[in-house]
Amino acid sequence: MNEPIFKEEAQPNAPPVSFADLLEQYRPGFDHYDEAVDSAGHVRSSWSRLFQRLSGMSLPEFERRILQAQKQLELDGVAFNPHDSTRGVSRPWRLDPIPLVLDAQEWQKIERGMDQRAQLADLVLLDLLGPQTLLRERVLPPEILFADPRYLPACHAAVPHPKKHLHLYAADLARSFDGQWWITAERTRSPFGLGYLLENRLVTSRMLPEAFQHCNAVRLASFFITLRQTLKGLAKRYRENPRIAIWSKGPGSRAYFEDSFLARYLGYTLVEGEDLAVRDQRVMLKTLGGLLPVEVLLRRVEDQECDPVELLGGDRQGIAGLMEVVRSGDVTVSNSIGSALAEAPLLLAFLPSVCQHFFGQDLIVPSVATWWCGQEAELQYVLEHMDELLIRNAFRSDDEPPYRPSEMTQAEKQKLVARIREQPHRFVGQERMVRSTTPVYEDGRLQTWSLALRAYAVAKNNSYQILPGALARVSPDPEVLSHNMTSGEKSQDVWIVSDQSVPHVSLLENSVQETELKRAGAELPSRVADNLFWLGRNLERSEQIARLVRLVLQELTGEAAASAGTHGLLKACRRAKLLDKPEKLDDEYLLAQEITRGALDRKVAHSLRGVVMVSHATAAKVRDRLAIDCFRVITELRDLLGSVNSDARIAPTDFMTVLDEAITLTNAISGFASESMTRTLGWRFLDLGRRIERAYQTSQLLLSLLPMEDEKFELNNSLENCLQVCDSFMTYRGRYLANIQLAAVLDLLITDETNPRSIAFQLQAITQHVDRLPRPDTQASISPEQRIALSLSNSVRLADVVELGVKVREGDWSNLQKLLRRLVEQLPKLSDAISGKFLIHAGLQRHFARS
Amino acid sequence: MSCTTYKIEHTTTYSYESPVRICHNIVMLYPRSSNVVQPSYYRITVKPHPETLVRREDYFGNQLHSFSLNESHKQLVVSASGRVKVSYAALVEPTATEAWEMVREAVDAKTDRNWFDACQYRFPSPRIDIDARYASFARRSFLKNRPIVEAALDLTQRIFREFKYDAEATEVYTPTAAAFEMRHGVCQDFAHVQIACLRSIGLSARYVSGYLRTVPPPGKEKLIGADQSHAWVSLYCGQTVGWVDLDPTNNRSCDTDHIPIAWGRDYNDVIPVRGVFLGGGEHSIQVSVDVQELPQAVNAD
Repeated sequence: MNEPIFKEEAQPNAPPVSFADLLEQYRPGFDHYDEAVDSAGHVRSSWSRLFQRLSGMSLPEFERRILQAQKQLELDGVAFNPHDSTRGVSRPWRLDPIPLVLDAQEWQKIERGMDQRAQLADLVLLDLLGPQTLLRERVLPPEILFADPRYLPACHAAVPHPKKHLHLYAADLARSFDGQWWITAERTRSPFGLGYLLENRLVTSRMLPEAFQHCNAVRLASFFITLRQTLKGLAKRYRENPRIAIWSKGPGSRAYFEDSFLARYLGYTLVEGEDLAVRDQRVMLKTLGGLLPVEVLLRRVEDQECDPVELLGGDRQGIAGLMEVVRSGDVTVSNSIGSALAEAPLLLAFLPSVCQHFFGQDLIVPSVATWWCGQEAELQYVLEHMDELLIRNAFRSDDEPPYRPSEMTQAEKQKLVARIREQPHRFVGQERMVRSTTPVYEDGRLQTWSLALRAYAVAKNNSYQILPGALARVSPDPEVLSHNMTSGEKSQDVWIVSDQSVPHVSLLENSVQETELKRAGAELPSRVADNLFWLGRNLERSEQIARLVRLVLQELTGEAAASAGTHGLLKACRRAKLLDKPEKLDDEYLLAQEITRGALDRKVAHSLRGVVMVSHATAAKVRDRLAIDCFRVITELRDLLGSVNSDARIAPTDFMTVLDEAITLTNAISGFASESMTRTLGWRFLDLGRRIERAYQTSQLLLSLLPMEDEKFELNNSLENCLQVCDSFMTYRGRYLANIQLAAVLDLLITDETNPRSIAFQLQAITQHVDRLPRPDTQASISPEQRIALSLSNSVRLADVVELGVKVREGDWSNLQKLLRRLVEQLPKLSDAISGKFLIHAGLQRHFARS
Repeated sequence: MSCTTYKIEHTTTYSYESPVRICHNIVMLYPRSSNVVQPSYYRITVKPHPETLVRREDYFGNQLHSFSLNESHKQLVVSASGRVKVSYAALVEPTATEAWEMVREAVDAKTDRNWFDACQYRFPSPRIDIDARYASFARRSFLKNRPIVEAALDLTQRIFREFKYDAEATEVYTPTAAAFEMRHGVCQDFAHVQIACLRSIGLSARYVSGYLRTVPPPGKEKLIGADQSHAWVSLYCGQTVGWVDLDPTNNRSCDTDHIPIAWGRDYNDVIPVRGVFLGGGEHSIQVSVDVQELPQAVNAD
């Protein structure tokens, strides 16, 4: 018998070749509700279109698209900083290729439920921070306000106009066995996740474009258009075009990716606390053009961190004196400061009665069963049923994972019981949710993972508009999903599908246009200008180092062997601190290794790796100001150098390939800067940094490479090296062929204003830039930075290279040396003058000591 | 009812090594009117002059002033001066008051007329946590069914005896728990500790900031400016007695020597001068408080 014996049995496990095979093997258990397949094993009707489209796809094609999508996520820099600190390592955002599909009709019920919830949460806040009738009439226990550690009496009675505290609201949802949705938690301070949700949609719709079209998934743009209108409606002044800013906690915070993403998507300025100040009862944005009033702040900052004067927190992130301005209505903070109160899990226990109180209705979407231990009967229940429950802090639901008594040792459990008994009001017991499952593509199979959804609502007139989609988190372990937003293994896009085709609303383009029309210039916060300036300097420095190292490695390892000009290159390496030994040419390969190691040194900031890392970190701080592609290339550059393992001693010849690529990437970045950035002040500071650095590096290089200090190395070789490192060799060849002449080289590198690599070219650009920087109208004479730039530019322009050449031939380098030394000395002063005038920071605000 | 009128002058001077460019401040130096205190001719002055000096009432009913300075300055002087008339009702007979558990129950069950007001001072606040250690310290005074004022006076006395007044041991941001461990501190710490003890057994207690009239040693003349800001505790003792003020630093219930200015859940709610500034380098603070009793003739009006 030649037939395989196990044919029949083997078939279910046969390696899948198409998506249809995957689907064939998808077998959800019967103890959960499965989103895609019903209990009879049939694909639910809302999913059939998706599966129809996917079934035709071969697995290699599917895999290829997943890889592409993952690459896009990495390059977009989508990552999670799990802790609000820089030391926490950020983990990459994992997006599953399979979207979660929900039927539009079913979604309508969630929409009504979300609208009701958001309205309730807003009414509760208006009352708690206002008349407190809910407490006086005993609908809610006083603990809900007075015992909440986040309660800030200073926020009392600061009601914005229109009278609403919540403009954005989110709720976490889970589905039980019978198909019923439950709300497990509410988010009322600054709901997290919208940026990730958008990114999921952009990536998934690009990964599966046919399916996305075919399924009629509802577009998200309408939600963001409403968000923009709502925020605009909060402005007291300039209602036509108010200045709205996203107030972020900065690059170290876990939401920074999302903050910068939303800032760009919505067309708002991304600011941090130090960009803002209160002057004359207004919140002002500190920009290069002076102070500009801000009307609305979409905040990420914690309640108590908003104002260091009144709320005593947030020395770094907060805005001193903000509360007074909020009270006067001259700025609106969204959501209102103090709105975190409505997130307390203990509120869930009372929501049914609050809903009756306000609306005379039941909750449309119920909450997961919650027992507050501050009541005698509930306390007893929780203590008796501990093993079936989760125990949570009654006031916070986010940064603290719940206790699971069933998994605790007897001793741990006793300790917990003692804590609950001591201060029962600080705890709630919550039913452990049985969650629904949904298909997830993992390890080459479709697996049944548990699902958690986060849905979003935005205020619109007297009700809320619900985002037609959600952020899905999935995990093989349902318990993990109860932690908080950052828990879960993967995320999925959520498609609300209907039978009718959906009107096409373009995502990014249409919704963003309106603002930023006339204010592109002076709007620039000083902090951003500072970062752009240093980004320019560091990128240029990366390129210069890469060119220098490439050339020196070529010389040391190449067949020509070390020429007489190599001495100069080694000297330049030493000056750039890439080499700490005196340059001896005994063992060229060893030297090459030494320089390679120096360039890759992780521990110092001036190595090539160090400078590239700093460039990337600086770029990350201003990523909302850079073209997306530009930031991608900077990330590629970082990854390129980050991937080289310096400890394993990479061969210098291999490193040269890396350098080739690095130089290509730095050129690509310059290309973006010159071709993709509008000529705003931001671009000016980036370019200014780059020009100053290039002029400085070139001057340094000439000082090192030319045999000035009666060194014996050969002139022609040195000149050639200068041309190489300054990327002007081809230009020179084109002009003068192989004839290397000192005067001609000096002209090309120093005085030729048509060569974009020459010092004169840089100084001309610098002079133009500093002339166009904002300055007071009253200023009569020229500024210090103008004076330095002009004087340097003039002395370079007036330099007579032929005369210099003649002198050098006579062995007198002093005039050239003097000119270059002056540049090396004055350029840092120019940089300082610019920093001091435009980029200086206000410094840290401090509290009065004991009074 | 005894009654005294004082003239008060409280001046705080901040001196900076280098100029301060900007500062934002809130001061809580203006006495809140109550059945105990009636201020008159009271003024808050700031030098250099701010463009606006806004007065408003905070959530707890205290008077506060806020101002910002945008002009460069090397010295900031905030002074509060005026007259106050202080009248305290005589303290009830401590042994005749309600059992402390009854007070607690009436507030918890919301049957007490003032339960809502009392509730606000019953839970942990930013500077004062509640804890079993405070509770067991308190229980040694709050014996079963003991009249609440008697028990509270006993606790006041025990803090006075067991804690050492020591201005070096703590500073303004010392946590209450640390002062409790050390058994050292100043009026602020004693008040925080006593409030923590009272709240830990379920009673409502608030933090009072104000002044204390000091009597010079016999034969010595009173030094101007030698008085100090002071702080003490107010305990809710049920709807018949109301709030009773206790001074653990001096082991007594409060009388007309005590001039309350503001009250809240703890020190953070009633900081006399708070604010942030930019620049300034090193800075030093000089505080001068002068509390002068005015003759009876003035009391009459």
